[in-house]
Amino acid sequence: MKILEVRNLKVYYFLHRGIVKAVDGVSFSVEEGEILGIAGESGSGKSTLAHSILRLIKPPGEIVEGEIIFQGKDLTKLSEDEMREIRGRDISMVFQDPNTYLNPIMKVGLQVAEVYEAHQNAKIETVLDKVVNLFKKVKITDPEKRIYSYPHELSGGMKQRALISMAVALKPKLIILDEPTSALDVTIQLEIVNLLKEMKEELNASMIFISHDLELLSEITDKLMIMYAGKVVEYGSTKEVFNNPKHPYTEALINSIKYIRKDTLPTIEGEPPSLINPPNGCRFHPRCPKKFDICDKTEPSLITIDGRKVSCHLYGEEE
Amino acid sequence: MEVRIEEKKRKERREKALFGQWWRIFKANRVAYVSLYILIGITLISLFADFIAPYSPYEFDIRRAREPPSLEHPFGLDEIGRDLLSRVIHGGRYSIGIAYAAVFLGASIGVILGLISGYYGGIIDDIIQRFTDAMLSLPTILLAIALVTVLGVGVTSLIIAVGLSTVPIYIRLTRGLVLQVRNMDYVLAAKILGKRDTYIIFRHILPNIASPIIVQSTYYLGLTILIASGLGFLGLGVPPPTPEWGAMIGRGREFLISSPHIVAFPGIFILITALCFNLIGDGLRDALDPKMAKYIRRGRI
Repeated sequence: MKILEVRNLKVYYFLHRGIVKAVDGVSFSVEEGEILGIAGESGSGKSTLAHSILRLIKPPGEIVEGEIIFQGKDLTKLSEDEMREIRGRDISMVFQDPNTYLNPIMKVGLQVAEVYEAHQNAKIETVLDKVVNLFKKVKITDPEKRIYSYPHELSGGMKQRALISMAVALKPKLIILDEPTSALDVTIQLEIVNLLKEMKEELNASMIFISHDLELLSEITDKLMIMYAGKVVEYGSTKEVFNNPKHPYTEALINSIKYIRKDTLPTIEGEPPSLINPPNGCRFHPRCPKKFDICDKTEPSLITIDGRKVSCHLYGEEE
Repeated sequence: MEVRIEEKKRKERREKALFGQWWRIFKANRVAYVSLYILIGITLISLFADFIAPYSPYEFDIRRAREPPSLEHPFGLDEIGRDLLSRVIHGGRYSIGIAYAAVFLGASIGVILGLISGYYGGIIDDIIQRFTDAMLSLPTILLAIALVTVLGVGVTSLIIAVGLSTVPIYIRLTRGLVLQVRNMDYVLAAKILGKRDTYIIFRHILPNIASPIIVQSTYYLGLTILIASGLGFLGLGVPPPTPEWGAMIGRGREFLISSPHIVAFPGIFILITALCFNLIGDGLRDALDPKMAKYIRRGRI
């Protein structure tokens, strides 16, 4: 069963310099209990996509087109109050940098307790036991004491655990992870990833895992979506995408993480394109090693090939 | 020696647990610390004026008017022969009380409007800001005079007038601070977790911007004493025979040359009180600013 379906989503930022098409016609779905990985360079629209699912795009940004169907409801059509009910209760989020996502002058336990307070109108004193249990679940040592700690008294890993406990407090159906490990030490990253997997099993929730780290994504996700300049370039089951990349961009990304076995670090030439004036035709063509005459003229559509979706002219004729 | 150091350490630890870091830094600023005690003293004396004042502030003896200070009457007698010391003691009640009430009123209204303006932005922000612009285009004292003229003379209207005249600056200050904090990640996190706007404003934003507002309020306590006294001097303050410091100076100014003590004593008290508030404000600013705190911990100040 599909828990989330995004259809032809377009999120634009209207700036004085022009229109930034941060997310430009993206479609995907998340099945129940599935982990979808979203990868791509900085500025490829990953975070904008995550924020638009929760409808947290602030002006000058705007969702201009598309549907976000969550459990049968189109989130783009809900009122702000209905949306607030969904945030945190049905869809929650874990963030990149635990140091800045906790209020520095509020005790950690009380910040977690606020989630219950906001959604269940519970008094803070009555939910503190629940918070202690949550802290035990996310393996914070000495939870009885830690709920009264301020964020600066906790380590980065502990803070991330506290944020995860906030995200899972109300047993959401969908958890969006926006690069949850990139601000942590490598040793702690593994612990956090394992914790996230455990939480997912326990809650039977679906996850959207956004990361730069393709290796990590290949380990834990079921499906993988590669984004480039606001568009989906490849989308399919993780194993296939990772072992047999179709799109030249995916291939280059995967090559660049397997460099340890090679002498030189393979890089992708050039820079990500400007989203105000994206290149004509395929947006990747200026950097593509396999480009040919048609690439800079027409934009490739997302076609299904071998059970996955690719947007590249190389496979055009097979349709 | 050892014991004494141990004792000092223990005392410091206990103080830190009780008040936190900022109290230690505040205490290190001797001037502000002494000002705080002077101010507490003045406030207590005014509060217990009924028991402390040697004479009634209203009883007069016209035959002994303008008598200079003596052992019997340490501050002398005023223009109709009332004991000036008693009047100064009672006057503190009005002058300081008006200052506290006015700042409380101004800060409450100003901070709430500033929070709304900064948090929601858009058209609400525009409306509040244009209103603020209009109020700021008049000097504070003129604004207070205008308001007193509209509201009429009396203690309540004086509080409202002085309080309201401080509102625009509170709005500006709060709005600026909110704009800084509004885009912090933890505010976004609170939103993502579905917390209500009122929660976010009062639990996440307000506590994070409280210190500059507290500091501003201490300065304003000093300023409102001056404004209230100024209005009193102009005859727009509390009506006679109420002993308010500004009004006392106002009525004594005719005798400035012949009997300077009538003006001097209330004047000195206005000066001391306003100065204390400002010095405490300086101390608090240093103590509540975390960047400053870092320097002090490192022993550079």
